[in-house]
Amino acid sequence: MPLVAAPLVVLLRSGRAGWLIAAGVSVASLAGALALAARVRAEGVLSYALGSWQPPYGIEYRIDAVNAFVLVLVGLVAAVVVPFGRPAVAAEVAAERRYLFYAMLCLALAGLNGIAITGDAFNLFVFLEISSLSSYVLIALGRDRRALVASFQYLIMGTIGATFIVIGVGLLYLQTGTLNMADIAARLEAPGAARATLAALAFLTVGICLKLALFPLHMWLPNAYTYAPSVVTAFLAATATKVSVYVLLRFWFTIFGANLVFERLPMPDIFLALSVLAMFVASGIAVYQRNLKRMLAYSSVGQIGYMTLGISLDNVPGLTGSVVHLFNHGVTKGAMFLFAGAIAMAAGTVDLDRLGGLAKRMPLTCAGLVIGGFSLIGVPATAGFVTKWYLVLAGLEKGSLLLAALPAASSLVAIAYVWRFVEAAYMREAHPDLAGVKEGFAAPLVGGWILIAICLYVGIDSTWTVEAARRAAAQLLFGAPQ
Amino acid sequence: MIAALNAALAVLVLALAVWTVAARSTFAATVGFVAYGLVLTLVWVQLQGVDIALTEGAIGGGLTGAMLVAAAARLRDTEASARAERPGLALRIAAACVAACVTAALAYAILALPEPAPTLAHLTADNIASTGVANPITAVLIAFRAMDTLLEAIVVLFAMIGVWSLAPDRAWGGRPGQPHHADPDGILAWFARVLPPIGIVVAIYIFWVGADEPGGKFQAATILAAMWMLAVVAGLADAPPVSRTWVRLALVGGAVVFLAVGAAGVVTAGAFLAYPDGYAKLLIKLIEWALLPSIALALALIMAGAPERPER
Repeated sequence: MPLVAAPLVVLLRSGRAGWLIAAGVSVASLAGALALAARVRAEGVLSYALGSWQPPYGIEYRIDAVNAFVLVLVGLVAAVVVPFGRPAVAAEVAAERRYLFYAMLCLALAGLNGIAITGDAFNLFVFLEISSLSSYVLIALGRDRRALVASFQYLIMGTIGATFIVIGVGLLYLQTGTLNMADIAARLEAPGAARATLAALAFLTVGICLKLALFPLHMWLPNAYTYAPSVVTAFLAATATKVSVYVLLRFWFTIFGANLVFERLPMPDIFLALSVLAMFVASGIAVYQRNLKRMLAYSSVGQIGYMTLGISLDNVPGLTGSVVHLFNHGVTKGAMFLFAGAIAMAAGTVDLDRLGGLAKRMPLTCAGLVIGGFSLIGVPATAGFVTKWYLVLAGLEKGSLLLAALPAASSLVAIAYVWRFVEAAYMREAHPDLAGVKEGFAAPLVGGWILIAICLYVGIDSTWTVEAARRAAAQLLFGAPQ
Repeated sequence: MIAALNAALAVLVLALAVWTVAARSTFAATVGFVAYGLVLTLVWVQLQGVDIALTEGAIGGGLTGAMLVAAAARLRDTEASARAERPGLALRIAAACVAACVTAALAYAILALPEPAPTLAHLTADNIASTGVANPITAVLIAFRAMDTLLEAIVVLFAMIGVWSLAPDRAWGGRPGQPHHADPDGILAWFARVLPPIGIVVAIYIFWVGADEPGGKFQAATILAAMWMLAVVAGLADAPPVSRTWVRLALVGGAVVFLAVGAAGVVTAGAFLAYPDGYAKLLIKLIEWALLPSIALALALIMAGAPERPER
């Protein structure tokens, strides 16, 4: 909450002060998220009535095991990406725009935290707009003018998504006469008016899926991630779609209830099919990309498939896998985009054809990217393996060997695109353009390696993340963490 | 009589909507859209939502309309090439089908809603006395759901920064738009001299009664912005370079005051955005006063467009 205050200070000052404040806010956000998570663990669900106006006519912030987890993820990524992203911003954003850039970064962070923290359906929509609008501007502020078109596409798609979401929220209000999520859920349980409930569910689901870039609604994502400044890509890729997944979880499980979504409708089957398509088709497209950032972007679409796959299985291991993958993939992709940004700055290109022999020039960056790639594949001892493990367990619990085999099979596709980078960086002759390129810009490198270290740590000792994710899954499925 | 009027309004709204979609030239569609906004304003009045009517008239019809006209004028040269790139018939029919399905689903759902709809209105009405203002809309906006309003005020700033991000590097921080020249004795200049004083009085009136009757800062800010833009278009005034300190201060001033009052609530009333007993109306007025110039300036700068002239 105090986050909203900082960006305005940034608006007034310029240049370096902006970075200092943004970095400070990010670290404070992580600290706040950890403190909140600890309190949720100790005391159960927290509630805060804004302005002391009691819900349902006032706005309530409500924190349980699920959003505590998301808040920690957002805080962590911000606390690494923003402080260590300074040289990347300096290289990619014109000097006189930087103060605006940092202001927007703060507001994007505030929006994402707000989405995660609020217990009010309309307030959630407003925060969603804050985070989306700031991301459009962040993408457009880069030096690369192609970003403008990418940002415009994103704007159109995002606005359609937002419209669907607000129609859904409006339908819910018309039926229940309240905007407080817990209240809506309680009143929806009463029978009757099921038709409007279904329509609200449909509008919300489509709208949120546009935001979270579920295949085939992902069209805005590759361009936006490719042309945006690296820091923006690293931050958004690691947080924005993850927060949207959280919104989907919140609406499906807390408001509509698993009973309606999973037992009376063909939702799980549709989601299962789309998730599997995302895992294979989007990852397949990633294999054919020549631009490293674009390849990572398509890989993100594929990885989102794992999250929705876990949701569609609707059991504790599946949801645990989904929730833990929010964290695992956020950390991994954040690191990989930071490294990609470092390459773009040092070599002036992220075109795989022109990165031949890069590993000799930038050994640390390339090694980090490869470890991140292992995590995307799901190699044991990386974070990605933990996710795959739970998804396989969930498939087995459903009694289907095929479902259990799918996550493993899609790893093969991931191997293919990760291999393309390995082949270019390690096996090929040095490209003549790279003659003078050196490992440079220590800060993004350090930031990337911090995230990679976390990725390896939670891959080896996954107790903390899995425990938190399991509590979140239990909260969603049974209404209380066990 | 009233029923006939309502039916006519309904038909007119739909006809204008269809015409806006079907119009071939961008400019014709824009005119259709503005007319549609005006008729919609009447519809809101008929539905007794005067606050919404004012907002729709000022922002939906007026401000958005003016921006669309400006955009259409800029796009006139590219109209032919844009038409050549029009998607094929099959794609357009598919898009129409999708849109029709969405509308049908919405209509189907709305017909199934409980009657009368459950609402928070009575709960709000019961608690309105504690805010000290009599207009329920203002009470909801600045007290019960103050957080949403604070965020919306920031969204206006976003839109403005989004417009600025389109500026070429050379002109960054400069004056927005192209300079306007009009015949100093012409009708436009005459309007620009006569209308603003009236407009400013009307805006202040709408703002002032906002606490107790329909009206408020957003509507008033729109009128102020429109008056200022009229002077700019007539060549009587020029837009300031956007990087000036006073511009930036004025832009964020409203949000800063809002946040400061909100933060003070933590100390004085025990929660963020809470107002201490007895001071609610005073603080609400303070926030409104601070937001008015910020929103007016932000809206005006959005209308003025991206900076195109470097600051000398």
